[in-house]
Order: sequence, then structure tokens, then C-alpha cells
Amino acid sequence: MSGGGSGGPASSRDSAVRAGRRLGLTFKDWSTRELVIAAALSVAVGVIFWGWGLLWSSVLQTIPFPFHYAFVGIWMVGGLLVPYIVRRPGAALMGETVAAFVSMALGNQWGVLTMASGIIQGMGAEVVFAAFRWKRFTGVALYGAAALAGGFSILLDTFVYSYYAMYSWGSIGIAAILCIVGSLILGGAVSQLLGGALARTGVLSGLAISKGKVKKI
Amino acid sequence: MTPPAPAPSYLYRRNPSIKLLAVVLVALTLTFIFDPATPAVLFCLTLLVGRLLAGLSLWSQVKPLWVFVLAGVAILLANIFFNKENAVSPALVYIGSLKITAPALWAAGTLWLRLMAFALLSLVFVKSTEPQHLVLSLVHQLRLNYRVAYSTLAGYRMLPLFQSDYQTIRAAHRVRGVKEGNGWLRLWSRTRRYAIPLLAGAVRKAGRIAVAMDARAFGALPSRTYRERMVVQPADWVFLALVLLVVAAITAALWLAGVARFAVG
Repeated sequence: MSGGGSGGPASSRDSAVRAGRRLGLTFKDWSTRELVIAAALSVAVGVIFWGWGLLWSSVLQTIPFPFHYAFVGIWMVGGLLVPYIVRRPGAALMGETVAAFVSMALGNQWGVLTMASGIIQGMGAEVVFAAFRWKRFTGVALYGAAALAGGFSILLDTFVYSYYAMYSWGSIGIAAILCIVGSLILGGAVSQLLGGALARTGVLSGLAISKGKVKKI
Repeated sequence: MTPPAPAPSYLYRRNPSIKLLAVVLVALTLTFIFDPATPAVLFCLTLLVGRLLAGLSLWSQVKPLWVFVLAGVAILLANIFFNKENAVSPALVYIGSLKITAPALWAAGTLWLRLMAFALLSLVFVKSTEPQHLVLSLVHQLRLNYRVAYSTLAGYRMLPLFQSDYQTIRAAHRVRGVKEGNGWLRLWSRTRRYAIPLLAGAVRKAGRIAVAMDARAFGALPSRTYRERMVVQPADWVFLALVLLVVAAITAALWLAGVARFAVG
């Protein structure tokens, strides 16, 4: 079948691919099992995102501007739980983006903006894991990723929702602090608890999170 | 006998990546515009496009947007209380001691209609795109790694399984006489008791799917063939150009009429 190209000259595309490779985001060291489990977990997290969106659109919406940012943190879980379990380069970006897509496809209030948020939050988390050379996915790395995901999130919102044109920088600052603290608790801590509970069931055997944790009988 | 499927609509036949690009560009334009009229016009236009080019009835487009009424109220209240222009602007009207200013109403209307337009754009996109086609197009046009793409598609297919798994777990709990608390407590206890079994079930199924994929040498070779290939046809570029042209024309016309304002500058 004939048809046009895919946009942009081949050389710029190749250089983008090479840049991705340099960053280590080729998914080469992922096994198929890790990929599909990461995808399934991301889709499940997407359902959680969607449910939280319903709660937001009904109950949490009544909380006025800077203060509702305390409850945004749950939406960081995709970029934290998936890398916490699979522990591979790209897991944060993939987890958050896929989860965001699912919550958008199930229908929420923000539509295509969900994808923008998902990509930005996933990038925030991924950058921190990358800074640790993808060798550490617990403790400082996990909570650092949560904080940066939250920080990126409020930055995007300030721009997309024109907060800078409506509110004082003081109240945007309050929103930022609440968003980051909320991400640490509702994103980081919840991911750690969920990941730990899931590992204890034994289904994650063979994945990085369970290395050295399996009890022999 | 089932009736023959209706012919795919014009929007359905467009390349998903190009369609996505069009939605993103329109949404991006809207984030730079700070007046209620432009998003309102684009909202109506999207309704029309959804009706004529995607075959979606007006009701099916408007119905999922009801939650926005509440969002609108929340945005309005936030602006009445916290808009930074309130202190320096004259009051339009006082409700009790509450000062309502023009900038607060302007900002609330803008943001609300912007959200409505975003939501409708996404709705029309999602309803006129097969998820499978979108993923294939991301591989073929945007060079997404195909192992990631197919794994994601496998994960996405598990979505309906979550529903049936939930029913099974619920029935199992009921048979064993597990009590559910009340109100918020119930929500919490439910989440706690269902989340782990649901996730564990998903992980188990994903593992089995992965074994099946590996058995078929998925990802063993650097390149692969596709049963279906997403291509960008000249008609897709025409579509993208038309979308950009119409949006630019509307924005320019409203700006010349003195209605449109820009958020930056």
C-alpha cells in the first residue's frame, strides 16, 4: 500500500531514536514478562486513576483552588508503583502514560489533557530514577521521583489552566507545596505499600522487587 | 442476522497519529487564549464535526460532559474568592459582602469553556479511533518500540477482565460472609480488600500472556511484519491543514472583532 511518509525527515527521526537509546530507553533489558506485567499494572492503575477522577469530579471538586492540590498525589502512582515493582529504565514513563491513557479512554473530566499530565508526571519520575542510573528504586529515589512528578504536575497545570493569570504566586506556591507533599504520601507511600503487599502475595516472584525476599519453605 | 456495520466515518478513516496531533494542537492553541468566546466557538464547531464527520449524535457527545457543571461551579467559586484581580477591580455586584468582579467571571468562564472544549475534543477523538489502530500508528508513524506497543495492547485487553474478576472476588467474599462497613469506611475497606487480589490476578494473567508471546518468538528479531499497516495519506495532511486553518481563521476573526484575548503577552 502506498502512502506518504510519517512526518519529518528520516535523519531527525533517527537522531531522536539514537537519543532515546543513549538515555537507555530502548526496553532492551526488559523481558516480555516484565513488559506485559508492567502494562497490566499500568492499566489497573489507570482504572484507579479513573475512579479517583470520579471522586474528584463529585466530592473533591468542592474544595477551592490551592487546597484541592493536596489530593492530586494519587495520580502519580503509575509512575511510581510500576518502576518500584519492575525496576527497569522507562518503567515510570510507561506506567504513568499508559495509566493516564486508560483513565482518559474510560472517560474523565480532563480528556486529552490527562495524557499531557501523564507524560509530564512520568517524565518527572523517570528523570529521578535516571539520575540514580536506574539502580535504585526505593527510599530516596522513590520519594524523590514522587516529589518531582508532583512538581512537574503543578508546573503544567499553572500553564494549562492559566493559574498565573488568575491567582497570586503565593496561592500557586501553596498549591505547589500541597501537590508535592500529597505526591509523597498519596503517590510514594501508597506505591510502596501496594508494591509491598503485592510482593507478599508471591505473584511478583522473578521480578526485581522480589529479589531476595522470597521465603523458602 | 445483525445489520451490516455502517461505513466508517471520515474521522474514523484518518490516521490516528495525525488526528491526535490535530487534537493536541487545537488544545495547545486554547491554552494560550484567555477569553470565553473562542473556546465556546471551538466547542460548537467540534460538536458539528463530531456529528457530521464522525457520525456521533449530539446527545452522545453532550451527555458525558454533565460533570462539567460541577467543575464550572468550583472554578467560579475559586475565582470569586481567590482571583488576584478581585482586590483591584470594581465590583459588578455585591452578594452580601461578597464582591463579584468582571475579571473573576471572565476567568471562570474562560477556564470552564476551555475544559469543555478539551473534553469534547478528546471525546470525539476517542470515539472515532480504534485503540488498536492508535497503537499501531504510534509504532509506524511515531516510532514507538513495538515490544512496548504490543505489550501495552495486551495489557489494555485485560480491562474487561478487571470487571469480571471484581465480580468473582466480591461473590467469594460474600459466600464467606465478609461484612462491608458503611459510607467512607466501606469505600476504604473495599479498596483494601479488592485492590490486592485484583492486581495479583492481573499480574498472574500477564505472566501467562507473556509466556504465550515468548513461545511465538515475540521480540526475538529486530524487525517484524504487520498484518495491518497504518499509513499517512495525503488526505490526512489535508485534514490537519484544514483543522489548523479553521482554528487560525476563527481566532483571527474573533481577535479582529475585539473579542479574543491572549493569555501571554
